[in-house]
Amino acid sequence: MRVLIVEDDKVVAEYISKGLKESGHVYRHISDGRDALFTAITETFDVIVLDRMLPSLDGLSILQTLRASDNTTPILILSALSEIDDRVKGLKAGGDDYLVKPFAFSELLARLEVLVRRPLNASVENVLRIADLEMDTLTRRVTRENKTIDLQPREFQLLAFFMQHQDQVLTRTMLFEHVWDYHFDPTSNVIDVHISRLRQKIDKGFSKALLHTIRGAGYVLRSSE
Amino acid sequence: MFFAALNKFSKNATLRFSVFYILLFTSSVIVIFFFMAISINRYLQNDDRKRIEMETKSITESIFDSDSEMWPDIIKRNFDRIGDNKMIYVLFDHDRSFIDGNINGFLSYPSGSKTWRKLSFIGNSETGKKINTVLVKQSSLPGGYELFVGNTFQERKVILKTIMAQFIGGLMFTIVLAIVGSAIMTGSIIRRLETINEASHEFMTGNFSARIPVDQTGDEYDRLSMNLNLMLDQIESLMREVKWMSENIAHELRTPLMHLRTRLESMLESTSQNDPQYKIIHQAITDSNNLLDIFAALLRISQINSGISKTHMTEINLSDVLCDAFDLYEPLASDKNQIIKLANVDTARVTADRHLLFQAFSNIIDNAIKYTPEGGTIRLSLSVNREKAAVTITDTGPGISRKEKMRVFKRFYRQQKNNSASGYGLGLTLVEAVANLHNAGIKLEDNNPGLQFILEFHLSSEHSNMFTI
Repeated sequence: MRVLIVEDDKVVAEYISKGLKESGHVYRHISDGRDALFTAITETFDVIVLDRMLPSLDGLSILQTLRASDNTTPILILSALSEIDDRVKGLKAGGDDYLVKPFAFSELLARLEVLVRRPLNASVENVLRIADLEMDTLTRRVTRENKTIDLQPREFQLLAFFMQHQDQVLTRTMLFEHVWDYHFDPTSNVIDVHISRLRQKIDKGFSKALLHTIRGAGYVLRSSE
Repeated sequence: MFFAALNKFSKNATLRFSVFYILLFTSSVIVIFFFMAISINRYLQNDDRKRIEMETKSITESIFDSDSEMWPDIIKRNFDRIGDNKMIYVLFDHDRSFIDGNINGFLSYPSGSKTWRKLSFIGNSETGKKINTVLVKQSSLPGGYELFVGNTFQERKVILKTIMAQFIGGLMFTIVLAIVGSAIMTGSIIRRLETINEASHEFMTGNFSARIPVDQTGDEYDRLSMNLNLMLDQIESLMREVKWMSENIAHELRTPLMHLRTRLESMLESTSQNDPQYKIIHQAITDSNNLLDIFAALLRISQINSGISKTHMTEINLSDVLCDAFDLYEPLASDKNQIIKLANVDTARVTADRHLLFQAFSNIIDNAIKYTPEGGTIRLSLSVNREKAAVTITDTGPGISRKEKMRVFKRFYRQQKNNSASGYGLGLTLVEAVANLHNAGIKLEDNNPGLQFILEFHLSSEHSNMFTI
């Protein structure tokens, strides 16, 4: 994917660009607000990483200007401000996701990939499928190898989120934000326990594991090893 | 009803002062009247004596020139002439037998030689016979005759009664006037104090632009309001400075920390896992992460304490948040072979920031799971009584000693015996900050064994008028 990095902090920008390059993505880095707005309008990107505090023009203004001119490029706001207030402001202004500094590159990458790839739309097709695992979002029935799997409501939501983002790495924070809908970082390994429960139900006793752990990043649901 | 009124009375200083003032005023009026009545009575008594003496003198003078045998007749004539039923005349002869008078003699014949005395007789009135007491002057006439002239005080009684009636009417009027006056005064004072109360409450709940209205009369309340407003101005600017500072610290201090971590991560990538340096770098990354986490937690606590987050409060169902927290931690507790259960969850609507509440509940449950041994029980409940909703989280862990109960909310405080448990000692500090933001009470009680953590929230409808008097 083609990423525009708007960030005035050289070290952070370097960290992001190095990571993107290593994972095979193309990037363009700009540190000034005005230049960034110009570049975002004149060139096409898959996703924009936008810092909030910038010289000459702040991140939110860039965001508002882009959205006002019907530019729908997904934008991830990067900020040192962690208050919910700022998160809400950023998302209201038209941001698609919000990440607080400091962050792990794996977290940023996972979020960018989710932003670039549209989720499988369950409203068009009611049945989500991966390998031999099937989920009917209307009847809320989950089967694997034609055997019914009983899931708790929260496990169902968790699996649904994974199935909509197949082959994408989902971090613990992302899972928590989407499935539980609260903004905070659970300190202990609560999410891991939920994942292992889900794994017990959908993977145990079947020939191939679908739910994989990505060390230092999160989890992925995929049919290939 | 009565106790409610009494409670309201005891909580209102102005009202208390007015009632005290009315009582003081009324009793001073009563004391003044009492002394006035005494002197009027004394004056009237003197008047009575003068009248008796005058009558005695006129009778004595009328018999002065005549023969002693004629006296009874002359006196009788005198009695008939006067015919006044307020005056009493009785004539006895030397052997104390009744000769004449406008009454039938006294209950007992007066003994001794006192001139003035009070005597009783049986008189006729509309209601029947009645014992009357009169002030009498005894005069000895030549020939052993004894003349008694008295006054029934009736006039005096009528006068005193009239004065009394006038006074009671006047007193009633005075009391009514005092009550109405103090009600108006109290009302206006309370209203003015209430505007100050309302504005300060609004300020405390996070609206830093709230100020006390000043009505330009320049009186002492206006001066108080203006001074308080100046104080609020200063607090507001301090708060803004703190916010600005914390944001800048967040930016300025976290950034170099982040750079440090980023560089360590780059180092780690270029180091082989077999290299002895690998472990050290890995540990350094963990350390810098901890540092960043502590910093984020501290910043968050001070932001919550500053009341800035108040703007995100919405009306929510408290039980939803508690059930979600239960739902999140249930597998973790089960993994530790602990029994975690939701008991008695009432519905309770409160005005709150759901994200912060969730974090607070999570911190408490996380602690409970951390400290409760295998096989222990963690119990969550939400009970509503009249105006409060109590969230209770109990565990069967080691509990907290009385001495430590006050200290657990302090920043960086960790229980001595549980030093091995992870965390920075900021979890409960955050819980306290969240509770304060929501005006919720915190109670730590013994579960014998274990700890009972109670958070008491005000229900939504009560929330708005919590600070009125």
